[in-house]
Amino acid sequence: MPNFLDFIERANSGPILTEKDFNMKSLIPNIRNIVKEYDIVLDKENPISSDDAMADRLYEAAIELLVCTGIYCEDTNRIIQLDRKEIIQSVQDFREGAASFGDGRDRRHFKARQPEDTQLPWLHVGTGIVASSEEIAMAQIEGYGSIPEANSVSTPAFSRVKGMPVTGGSPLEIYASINAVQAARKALWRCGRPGLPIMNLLSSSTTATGTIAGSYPVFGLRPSDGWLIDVLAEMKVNFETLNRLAFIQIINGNIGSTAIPIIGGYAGGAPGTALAMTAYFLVGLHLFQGTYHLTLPIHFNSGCNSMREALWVFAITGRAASRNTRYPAIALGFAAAGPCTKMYFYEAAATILSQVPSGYAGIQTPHPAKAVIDDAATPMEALFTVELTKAVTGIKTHRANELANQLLEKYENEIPKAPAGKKYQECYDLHTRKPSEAYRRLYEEVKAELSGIGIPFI
Amino acid sequence: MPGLFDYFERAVTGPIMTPKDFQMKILIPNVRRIVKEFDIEYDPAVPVSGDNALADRLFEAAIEFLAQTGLYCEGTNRIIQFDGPEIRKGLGHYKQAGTFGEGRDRSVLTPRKPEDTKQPWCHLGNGIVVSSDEIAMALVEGFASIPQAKSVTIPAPDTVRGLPIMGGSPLELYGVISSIESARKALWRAGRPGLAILNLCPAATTAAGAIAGCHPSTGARPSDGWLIDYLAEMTIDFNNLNKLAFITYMGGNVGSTDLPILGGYAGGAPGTALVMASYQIAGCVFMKGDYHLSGPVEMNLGCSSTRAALWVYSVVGRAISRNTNYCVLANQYAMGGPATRTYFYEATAELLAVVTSGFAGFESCHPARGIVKDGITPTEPQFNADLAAGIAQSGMQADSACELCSRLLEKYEAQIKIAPSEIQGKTYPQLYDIKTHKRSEEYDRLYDEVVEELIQMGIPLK
Repeated sequence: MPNFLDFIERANSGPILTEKDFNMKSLIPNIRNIVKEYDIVLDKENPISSDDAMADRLYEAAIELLVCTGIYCEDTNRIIQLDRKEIIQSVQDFREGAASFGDGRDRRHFKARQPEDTQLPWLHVGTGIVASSEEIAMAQIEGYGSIPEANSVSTPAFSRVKGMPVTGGSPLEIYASINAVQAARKALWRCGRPGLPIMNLLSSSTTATGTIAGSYPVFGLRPSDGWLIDVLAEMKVNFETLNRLAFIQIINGNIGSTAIPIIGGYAGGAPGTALAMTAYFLVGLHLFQGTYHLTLPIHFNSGCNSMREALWVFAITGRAASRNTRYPAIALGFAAAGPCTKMYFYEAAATILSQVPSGYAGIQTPHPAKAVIDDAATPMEALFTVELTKAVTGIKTHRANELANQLLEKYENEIPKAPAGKKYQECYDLHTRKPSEAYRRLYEEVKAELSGIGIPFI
Repeated sequence: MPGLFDYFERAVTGPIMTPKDFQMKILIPNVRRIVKEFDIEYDPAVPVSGDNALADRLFEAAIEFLAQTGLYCEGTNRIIQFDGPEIRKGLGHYKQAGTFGEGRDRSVLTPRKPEDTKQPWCHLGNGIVVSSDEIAMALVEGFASIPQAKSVTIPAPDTVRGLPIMGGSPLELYGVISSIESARKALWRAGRPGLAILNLCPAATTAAGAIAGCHPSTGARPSDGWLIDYLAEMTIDFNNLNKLAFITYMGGNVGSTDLPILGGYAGGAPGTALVMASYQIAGCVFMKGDYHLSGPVEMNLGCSSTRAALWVYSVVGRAISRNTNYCVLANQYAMGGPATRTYFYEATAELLAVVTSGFAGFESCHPARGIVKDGITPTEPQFNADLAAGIAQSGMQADSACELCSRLLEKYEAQIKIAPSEIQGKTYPQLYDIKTHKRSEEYDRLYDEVVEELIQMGIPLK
C-alpha cells in the first residue's frame, strides 16, 4: 500500500496539465459521464433518500471517479493518480474504532454508524465562526463544553489581535492561532471539561505555517485533538494542504479530512455533488489516511445546505459511505438563518434529519447565518443539535423524509431572504453566560412546535 | 520599550513605499551620507583595524543609520521605524548571556572585548548540503567529537528518499525533520547529547518548514538556537517575521543573522561595515535575539576572506563589542575547499581578524563558499577551534593580527580570484572513510604540513 511519501512522489511525477485543462477536460466530463453511467438521479419529492441500491451505485461511481480523475496538485500542476485496488484495500484496512479523541474522562472512541442505526452519533458541538473578541470566544466555548453530551467541540476563529486585523500569512496569524488555542483550552477547563477534544484545528489559520505553529504542544494542543485538512473544490490539493497533512502525520495527530463540494459548481447539480462528496470520503481515508472526516455540500448561490437538493446530497452520500466503509464522518449543516430565529431551527432540524438516519457517525451543530457573521453562534444552537439528534436517533428514513418535507414547507421559500438573527452578545449575557429570556422563550416555542409535527424530543 | 508585537504593528502601519524606492531613495543615500558624516574610512593597507575611535564612530553611525532608515518589510511594503533613544535603551536591556544546550553541555554564551584572552565560543560545523543521511551523521558526529565545541551547525539534506526537496512542499518538512533527528542521533553517538544546535532549521526555506522542525517530537529543544535572517539589505519578509514570532512565543533562543554584501546596496567596505553593525544592533533591539551570526560576503567572489572583508570583520567586531554586550558569532566563508592550502590560509586570516576584534564566538569557516555538496569534513572545524584557542590565549593585539593577515593575504589573495573549481577541494567521501570516520593519509599529510607552515609564520596554533 502506498504511504504518504508515495503520494507526494506522484504529486511530483504524475501527468502534468493546466488547472483549466484538468477542470474542463477531465473533471467535468468525468463527473457527467459517471453520473449518467451509474444512474445517480435526484428525487426532489423525497429529499431524504432510502434507496440502498442507488447508494451502493454511488459508492462504486465514486471509486470510478477517483480512478479516472485523480487529485490535482495545484503547486506542481500534476495529477496524483489513484488506483482502484489501492482504494479498495485502504477501505478494507481501515481500523474501525481506532479513532479516539480527548483525554482523561473525556476520552472517547469515535465509531462508525449504519443507516437507521440506533447508536447515538458523536456530538461535535460549536462552530469555527469568527469571534470578535477573546471574551466572546471563551464564553461560546464554555457554553459548548457545558453541554454534558458533547463529545468534542469546534472553536471559533479570531479575526483580530490587539485590535489589528489578522492578515493571513503574517506574524499576526501565528499570534491569533496560538491565542485561539490557549483561549479554548482555558474555556474548557473553566467549564470542567479539560479533556474535551477540539476537532476543528486550527480555525484561525489560513496557512500551513499558522497551523503548524499553533500545534506546538506548549500552547495546549494534544495529538488527541483533531486537525482538519481540506480537499479543495473540486478534487484538488495544494502544498498548504499537503504540508499540514505531512506535519500532522509526523506528530501523530488525528487527521480530519474535510471537503465542501459546491452544488452548482464544477460538480454540477445534486447528483454530481453527491458523487464528489462520496469520492472525498475515499480521498480522506486513502490519500490523507485520516482518522475522521467532516463533510457537507454548499449551494453555490445561497451559501447554505438546508435546501431540498442539499438534504438529498447529505442523505445519499451518508448512506453510500456508511454502507460501504467504516470511516467515521461528521455531517455539518449550514443554515441560511441566524441565531434566535425560528427559521434557523427549522433548517437545522431538516439537515439533522437528513444526516442521522443516513448513517453519519457524527453530527456537528449546524452553522447559523451561513457561518459568515462574526459572533453569530451561541450554545443554544449547539444544545438544540444535541437534543434533536438524541430525539431522532433510530428514526426510519421514510419518516425522516416526511418530517423534512414538512419542515421544508416552512422555510424553503424563505432561504433567499433569511433573517440574519442575532449575535452572541445580543442574545446572551456575556458575564453570566446565560441566554436572554426572549431566546429561551423562542427555543421552547420551537421545540413545542417541532414536537407537534412528530419529532419525539426526549 | 516596544515589544515584538509593537514592531509587528509598525510593519503594518509604517510609511509605505515600493522596494525600489526604499533602496534608491532611503537606503543607498543614507549609507553614503552617514559613512561620510561619521568618517568611516577603509585603509586596504590595514586589513585588521585596531582603531578604537573609528570603531566607536561606526557604532554611533549604525544607530543613526538604523534610526534614519528602519527595516523594510517586504510583506507589507512598509518601513518598521526605530528611534535613537529606543535603540540605546534596547541595547541596555540585553541580558548579557544566552544559555544553550542541556546537561553537561549546557553553556552560557558571554561577550568578549577586543584582544580578550577569553576563549571565544566555538560553534563548529556548517549548514552545507549533504548528499546522504549517512554523511550528515558522520559529519555531525565528527563536529561534536571536537572537545572545544560549544554548539554545532548541522548540514541540510537535499533529497528525501531520492526525491529532490522542493522548498514549500511537504518534502521540505520531511527534510527538516529528518535532518534534526539524524543530528540528535549523531550527537548522542558522539557522547554529547546535550550539545546545542544553533542553525535550526537548515533544511527549511519557509517558515512552515522551520516551525515544523521545532516540534519536540523531532528532537529540537528551546535550548537550541534558531536563525532569523535579514534580507540584503535592511529588509525582512513575513517568512522571517513568522519564524521570529513563533520562536519568541515558544521560548526558543533567537539567533539574528545577516550576510551583508560587500559591493551590493551598501557599497564598499565602509558601507558594508555600517550595515553589518546596524543588523547586529537591530538583532538585539528588534528581534530581541539571544545571539547573532554575522559576516560580510564579497559580491563577486562569494567569500569573506578578502582584504576588505577582513577589515569589515575587525571594525564591526570592535564597534559592537566595545559598545554593547550583544553576543555575536562571526560567520566566515573561504574560497578554498577542504584539503586545500588556500582554505587554511583564508580561515586563519579570518579568525585572526575575528578573535582579536572582540567577537563573542565564531562559526567554523565554511569551505568552498559553503556551496559544494558534501564539501566539508571535521578537520576544518577542528583547525578553527585549535587556532581560535591559540589566538585568544596569546592575547594577540590587533596590530599583530594585521601583520599576520597581510602575510597570509600574500599567499592567497591572488589565488582566490582564479576559477573556484581549481581550489574548491574535495568532499567528505573523498577525504574520509565513511564507515570508520577516519581521515585519509593524504589529508593527514597536507594538514600536518599546513599547520607546520603556519606555526613557522608565527601563528599561535596549538
